[in-house]
This record gives sequence, structure tokens and C-alpha cells, in this order.
Amino acid sequence: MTLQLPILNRGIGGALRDAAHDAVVNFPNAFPPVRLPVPQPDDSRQLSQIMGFFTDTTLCIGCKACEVACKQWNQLPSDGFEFTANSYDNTKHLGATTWRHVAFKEQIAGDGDGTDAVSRWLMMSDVCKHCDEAPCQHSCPTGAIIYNNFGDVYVQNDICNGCGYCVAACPFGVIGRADEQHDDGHAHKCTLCMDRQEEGMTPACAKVCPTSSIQFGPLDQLRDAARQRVGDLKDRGNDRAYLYGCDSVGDYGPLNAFFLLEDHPNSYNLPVDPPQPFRGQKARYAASLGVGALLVGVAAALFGGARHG
Amino acid sequence: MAEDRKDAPYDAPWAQNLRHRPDPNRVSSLQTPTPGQFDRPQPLDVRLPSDQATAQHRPLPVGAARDADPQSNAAPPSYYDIPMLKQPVWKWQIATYFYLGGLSAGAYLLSRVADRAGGDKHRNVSRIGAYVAMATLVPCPPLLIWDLGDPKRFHHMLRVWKPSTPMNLGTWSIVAYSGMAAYEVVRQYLTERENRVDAASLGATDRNKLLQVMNNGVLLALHDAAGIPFSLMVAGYTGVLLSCTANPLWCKNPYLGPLFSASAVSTGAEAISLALDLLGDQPASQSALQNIDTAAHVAELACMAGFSRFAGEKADPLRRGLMKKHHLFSLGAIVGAEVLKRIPVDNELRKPVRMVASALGLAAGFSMRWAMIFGGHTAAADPHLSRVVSQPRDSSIRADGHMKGAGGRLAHGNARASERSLSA
Repeated sequence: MTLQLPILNRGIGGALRDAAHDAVVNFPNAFPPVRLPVPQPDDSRQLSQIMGFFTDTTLCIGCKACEVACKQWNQLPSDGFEFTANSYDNTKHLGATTWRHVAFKEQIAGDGDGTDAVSRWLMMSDVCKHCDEAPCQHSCPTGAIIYNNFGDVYVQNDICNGCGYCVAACPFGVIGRADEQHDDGHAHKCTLCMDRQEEGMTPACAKVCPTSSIQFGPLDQLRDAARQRVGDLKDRGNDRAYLYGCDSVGDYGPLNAFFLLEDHPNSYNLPVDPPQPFRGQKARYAASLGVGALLVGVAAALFGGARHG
Repeated sequence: MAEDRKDAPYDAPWAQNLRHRPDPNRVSSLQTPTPGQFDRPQPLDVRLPSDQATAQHRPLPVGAARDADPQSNAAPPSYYDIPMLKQPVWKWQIATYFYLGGLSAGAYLLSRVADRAGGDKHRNVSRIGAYVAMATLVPCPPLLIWDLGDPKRFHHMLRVWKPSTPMNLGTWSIVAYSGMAAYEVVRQYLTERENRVDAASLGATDRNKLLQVMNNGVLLALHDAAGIPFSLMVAGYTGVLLSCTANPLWCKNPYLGPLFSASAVSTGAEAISLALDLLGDQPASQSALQNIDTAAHVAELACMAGFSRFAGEKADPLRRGLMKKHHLFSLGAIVGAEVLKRIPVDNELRKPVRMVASALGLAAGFSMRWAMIFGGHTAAADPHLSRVVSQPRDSSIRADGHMKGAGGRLAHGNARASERSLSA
């Protein structure tokens, strides 16, 4: 194990000077001006004001235009050109620098020799689900993760201090922390192109999608469209299609980014029933403090008993 | 000159693995189950050893199992066993902080209890306990700051008061607790310094003014009323913090908090006992300390059993793989320390044996934190466990597309919205 302290490289004087400089320069960032009222979790809001994504995987052709557009607009670095050796997936999962990830799932059924084999190719453009009761937002100890004025989960990068709690809390494995050695060391994820939305524009991935597999809009319209789409597919004989996240999933309410899938959620690396880790938190505190208090009581009895005995 | 990859022998180990693993693209049918089918746990009996979570090797079904289902070498539904969850970013700094913070809080608690309940007889426990608490607390903030990717922004943690997240509440608790611990250290130091001087030779005016203020009964009562709850928080919040994650090993496990609390008290007692022995103090308080240690160890083992039972298969990263030795050591060292303490030995051997037992207990506490943190890394890298932790727990729900008691932000805040979203 090697110790990698910046202090060892720059010398104590240099490190102190840098720290003092950073403290002065960054101090205003710790207390940013509030520009717009931030919606609180219990705000009663109209669904028509909450913007979201509907990703229809039956329309996805795996062109990865969404990945590229996302990276270009948000100025994210490349993930390298290494395939998973199973299919054409080179990004593997969502992360700090991958906010759209196209999953490629090849499936073959039937005889092994291939004579009457049937195959299909499932493709899905995965994205942050912008949960209704997001564990990353709940876990954030600095208040960096908020619900923005479009009802979506947004990381304020100047507030994030890189503690990594949201990374462990997300049951979808979406949010990641950038490398602290080569990058800024903060948590990053899809912003649902908040900067574009503020200008009345469509998020980059939805704008660029050539087949309308990614649709962006107010949630009420998106949900109606999604249900209609499932009905249409069923009418045409595709009874495999169903919606993931349009209604509640596990402990979660409807997701702001939801999907039309054709196979088991695990086939797309989505959890069937994502746990909401903060449910029951108070009971766990009570158990923890209770055992501590019990042992303090034992200690008091033993110390006191030794005095009198 | 490197050998061309094309010329690599086909019986190379990697090629063998490739040939014998089940085809990840092969499924038994392209007919997708209807959403209602997800209400039942999917059969996921083939699993990976968790220490090779990313390796693709699975045992092939043999005999009757293969005859019954010719397609049984089809993998369970998964995305090429690429892990679903992110590994925690917490490394040795956090494991060490969890240990030292707990130890400090435990030592502080025992110091205050010895002062309150034990009186003069246990003055050495309250004195040494305060010093131990401060000595182990001092490295904690640097460790926490070191862990952050960007160390200069630690103060953002104190930017908001957000008790709904254990990390924020814990940070505020440790700030408050460090004030209490500092108060106690100063008080003990001044008392000690004054006791060195012959008390009779001091006139009333020579006594330390600060000490007189600090020894004020009301102030001490207030100090304890705040300090004991805060130190209990510091001892246990780390476990609650881990239980509030989606990590398969930790997720919602109610025994983690009590486990860390009990371990804090036991390591605190051991550290005080060891310090007393090293300083050659009178062993008057040792039997009480050892009994407290035993009680905490009993609680710790019970919590560990509960943890294992609750987590079930999800605790496998502790039972096999890299963390197995740390986990087994922590259990073995606790039992070993308890056995050592109870071996009847001569009086001159009593002290060294007690010191070895204390050291074993201290090592057990560290090993437990280490296994718990790094076991979480293994658990998140194991695609099977992330599927297990997201299995449906209550199959009676979602028959009509939604779930009772769920609904999140919209359902709580806007009944009309949720009604609209759920009516399909």
C-alpha cells in the first residue's frame, strides 16, 4: 500500500499555501446564491411540470448516438474502445463519465447446432432514473444533490465534496465518483441536460435519437404515450413488451426516466425490486443507541457495584 | 517478440474457461414473462464464488439436472454478469476511522460512567479513559478528509443540517462529541495537575479557577446530558450509515448499528485496560473493565449472529474469499480473548495475560470493521448478490401494477398526481 498524499509531493509549505489559496477562492462556492426555489420532496407539484425520459427499447437500434451526444454536450471523456467480448457494448455501465449507456443483449434460443435457432438482439439506452424518492439525494450529506426546478435529481458539482455515499446508496448503480487522482473527485451523473432545459431545449440524447427510442417530455404525457405504445405492441402481437418504472418499482414510486422492456429486468442489468435503503432508518438508529445505552447501564452497574461491594 | 494472439494454444487456460462456460447469450425461450411473474423470486441457484465475481466460470449441471432441462446451461437472466452496483469508494481510511471513532466514543462513555458511578475508586479509569478518547479521536478528522476525493471541501459537510442522512448527522455528532471529549481531557488534566501538589498546602485562592468552573455540578450535568448521547451516536452511527446503502452486504441490516456500538464499548474498555496496565496503575478497576468488556463481547457476537442470519446469502463475502480471514479472525479473537481472561494463572502472570487478551480484542474490533468495509466491495462486485438484494420481498404486491405503501415523493405530496400515474 503506497501513501499518496499531495503533501509529500509539494512539501508542507506548498501544500499549506495551496490549501489557503483554495479556501479563499472556493469559499463563496460553499454558500451559493439561491436562484430559484428548489422543490422539496413534499411539494405538491403538477406532473405536467416534471420532465422525464421514456426509453422505448423496441425502437433502439444500438447506434449509440445518445452516448456520443451526451458526451459531446456535457464534455465527458471517452470510455475507451474496449468491447465486453459479449457484444458491441464498450461502456459496460453508467458511471461518473457515462451518463447514457447502450446495453446490447444477444439471445439465442433453440437447438445448439443453430439449425432452428431463433435469436434476437435487445438494446437499451440506460440512464439515471431520476427517482421520485432518490437515495442519492437522501444520502447526500452536503445538500449537493437536489431536485431541480424540472423535478429531476441534480448534482451541484461545486457543493459535492466527494464523500461517495451516493455511490453506495444508489440501487441502480448509476451515480459514480470521478477519479480523484486524474479528475475532480466529485460524484457525477445525468443532469437530464438541465442547462438545455433552462433554454427550452430537449436533452442532447433525446434530441439526437434517430428512432425516437428516447422520448423527452412532461411525465403525464410520456406515461400516456408509453401505455399507448404497449397497447399498440400488444395489438400487433408483441405481448412481451411491458413498462418498467412507469408505475412504482419495488419501494420506489414511478421513475422520472422509465423504460419499455421486452425481457426480465436483470437482462438489462436493472434491479427487479430496488431496495429503498433509508426505509426503517429510525428503527436501526434506535437499535444501535439502545444497545449502546444498555452497555452503558451495565458499565454503571459494574463500576457502582465494585464501589459498594 | 511477443507471441501473436492468434497463435496462442487453444488449450491455454483462458481458452479452456471460454469453452466450458455456459453460453451467456443462450436462453431457454424468447418468450418474455409477463410483469406479474417478477413477483416470485427467479431461480438463481447457479452462482459465482464471490471472490471471483467477475470471472465467468460456472459449474455445468450434471446428470439428472441436465436431462431434465437440456437448456439448463443457459445463464440466469443477467447482463453478462457485469456488476449492477457500484463498488463503494471507501477504503482503509474509512475502515480505520470507523474503528478509531468507535474506540474513542467507547472510551469516553466508560470514562464518564466510571466518574459518575464509580467515584474515587475508579478515578484512574475516568482519567485514562478521557486521554484514550482524545488520543484516538485526533486522527479521525484527517482520515475523513483524506478519504474525500477533494480534501479541501470537508467543510461542505457542515454546510447543511440534514439529519435524515446518517453521514451528516454523524459529522455533526462527532463535532459536538469532540468538544465534549476536549472538555473532559482538560478537566482531567487540570485535576491531575492539582492533585500532584499537596492539597493541604493549597489555599482556596490558589486553586485553578478554570477547574473550579469546569467542576461545577450543573455544568457537568449539562456536559453529560449532551456528551453521552453524542458519544453513543458516534459509536453506532457508522453501522447505521452502512445499513442505509444499496450494497448487498449492508443493505437495511438492522444489526449493523448495534454491532458497531457493542464493538465500540468493548474496544474502549480494552484500550483503557491496556493503557492502565502499560502505565502500571493499580489494577483495582480491572475486574470491572474486564466484565464490561465481556458483556460487550457477548452483545457483539449476538449482533454478528443476527447480522449473518439477516443477510443470509448476502453475507457470503465475509464467509469466503479475501475477507474470510479477517472475519474469522475477528470472531476467533473475541472468543480467544474471553478464554484467555478466564484461564486461572498466577498473580504475576495475570497482568501479561490480561494485556494479551486486551490486544486481541482491539485487533478483533479493527478486523471486524475491515472485513465489513471491504466485504462491501466484494458484495457490490458480485452480480449475483446485487440481483439477490433486489429480489421482490413481498410477493403479494404489485398484482395490479402498483404497490401498497409505496409511491414516493409524488404519492406523499400529491394525491392527485399519484392517482393519475397509477390509473392505467
